[in-house]
Amino acid sequence: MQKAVIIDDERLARNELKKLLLDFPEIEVIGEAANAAEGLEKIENLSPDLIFLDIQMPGKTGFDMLTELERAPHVIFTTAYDEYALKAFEVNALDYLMKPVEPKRLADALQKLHQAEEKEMAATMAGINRGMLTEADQVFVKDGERCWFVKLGEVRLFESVGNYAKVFFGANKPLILKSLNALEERLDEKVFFRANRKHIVNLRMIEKIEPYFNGGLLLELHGGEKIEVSRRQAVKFKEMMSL
Amino acid sequence: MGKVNVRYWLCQILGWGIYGLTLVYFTLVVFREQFAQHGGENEYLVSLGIFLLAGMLSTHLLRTIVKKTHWLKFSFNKFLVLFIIGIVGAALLQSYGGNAIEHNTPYSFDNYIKKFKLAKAQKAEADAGLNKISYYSTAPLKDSVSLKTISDIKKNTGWHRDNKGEWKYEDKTELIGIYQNILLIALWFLIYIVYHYVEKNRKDQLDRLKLESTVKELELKTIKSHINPHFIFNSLNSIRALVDENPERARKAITELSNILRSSMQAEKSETVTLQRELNIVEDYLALEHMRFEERLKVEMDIDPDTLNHQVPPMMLQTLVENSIKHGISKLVHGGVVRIVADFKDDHLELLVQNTGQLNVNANGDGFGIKSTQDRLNLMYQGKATFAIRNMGTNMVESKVTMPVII
Repeated sequence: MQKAVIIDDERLARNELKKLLLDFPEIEVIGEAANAAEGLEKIENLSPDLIFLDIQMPGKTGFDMLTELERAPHVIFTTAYDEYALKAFEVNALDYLMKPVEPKRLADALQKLHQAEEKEMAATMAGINRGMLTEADQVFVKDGERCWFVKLGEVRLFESVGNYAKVFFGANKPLILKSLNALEERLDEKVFFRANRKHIVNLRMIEKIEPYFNGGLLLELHGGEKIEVSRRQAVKFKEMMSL
Repeated sequence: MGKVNVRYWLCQILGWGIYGLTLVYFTLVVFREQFAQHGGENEYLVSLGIFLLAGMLSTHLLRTIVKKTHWLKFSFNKFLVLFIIGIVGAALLQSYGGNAIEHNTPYSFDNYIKKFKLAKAQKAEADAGLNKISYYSTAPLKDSVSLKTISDIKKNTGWHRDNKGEWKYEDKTELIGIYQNILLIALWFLIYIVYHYVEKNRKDQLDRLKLESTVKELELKTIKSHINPHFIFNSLNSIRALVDENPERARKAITELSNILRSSMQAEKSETVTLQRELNIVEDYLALEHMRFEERLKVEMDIDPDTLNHQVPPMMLQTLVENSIKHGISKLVHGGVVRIVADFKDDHLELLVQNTGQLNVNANGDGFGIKSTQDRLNLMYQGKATFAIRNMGTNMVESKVTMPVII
């Protein structure tokens, strides 16, 4: 059983989707919201597994709402007609439905979701510690007109840029509005290591480790980035790695 | 290519013809006495005819080459070189070709003149008592008076005897003739170029005008048929939800949507519609949007009944209302009001669409709507209609269209 929240500013559109979902007993609609603010509230309180999200909404768009989430649930976008918005999904297996929704398309989207879910199961079970973000968790990142869902496991580096953090994954490095300290608190410390004041690295993405002067270390990541580990952190790093 | 260019041949014949007639007139007037005394009119006319024909043919050949190899498209420098080669070539052809023909006819004026001059030379020689062949072959004259007489005869008539005592003719007018022909053909060519230049300019201008009007027509069509697909699909989605919830409303909504789609398609066909008809569409549209937005959309209408029969551009008010929802109401969490006003102000019809919201100065998304409305009014009323959009206070936006009552 999966818990779902429907976020759409039109009551009739929400009703229609609810009606369509009656044919899928494995999906339980536990809440609905008429705008981004309500949506955020519902997601925080109900922590659904899945949200159906309209892109064009009053106040904030669906995309803007997602960027404010610490951990994005599975998302299926619903939109009537929006070439611009659909272009934004360049990467990732984001799924979207065109309104009016064809029941067959809805079934396909849910099927795809189940498959993705099974894959993640193991990882999620491993990091069940409450409140912590695991490698399988995804964040929604928006950089100008481009959007990504990024699995934390794919991120090799967070770099502090003022109040923002630059997220390095693949060939992209968009900014998210989160401080490095806040991120550190929520990230699994077994995977993400605070190398210095400005960087958090993914330990699984380290290519090379070299001694550095003053007792520090120099890490080279898969993407070629070179990150210095401060002396104090180097001690901790060695401790962790030897474990 | 196969078609005979009537205008070109008319110009050729008229040009050379008028030139020929002028020459004939002046020659016959100026040399009237000489002709009366010595005859030769017929020979003169035949030779002139051949000269004109040679001119016409050589310029025609020049034109054929110019056309075939597209001289008029060349750069100025290249053209200038070709121009000079062309006129000299054509002039030489005219001169030598013409002469070759002329000298082989019994009516050659050149030959007539030659004969006339020979008679004159022989007479002058006899008068001076120098008409003995031995003076020129076996015992040449030595005294200066006789030599001067002989050289004078040569100067005046072109005839002299060689050292066998045979008469020889030297024609110095030939070069002058070629020079004249060069000037003549240069003039011909200049007229040809100027004509084509003017013609091309005129054609370009015509093409440009045609293009402009096509572009305008296309613009009008695209502006008119502009209906937001987002709206259509959202409406269909709402209707599907209503089929179970409120079948009566669903049926009505389908009628409303049909009306809008039909009128957006028909808008291309008619230049104007009555305000009454336009308002019917707007009402259907707002009813559908109300179905979607429910309590978030409030509609107010303030229509002067006298305005209802006035002609307005189709789908214009509709576009403004659509934008007031798209950029105004749909962006507001708690929605707002759309107010439509139609009234006469002085001798203008004034249409107002007011909606809750604020105009975003930096927004470029709605640029198309504003510009296309402005363009449409300009096209239809030649600047006598106006369109403006502005903020009213801090929480309303107003679009205003004024158009003349009589077009």
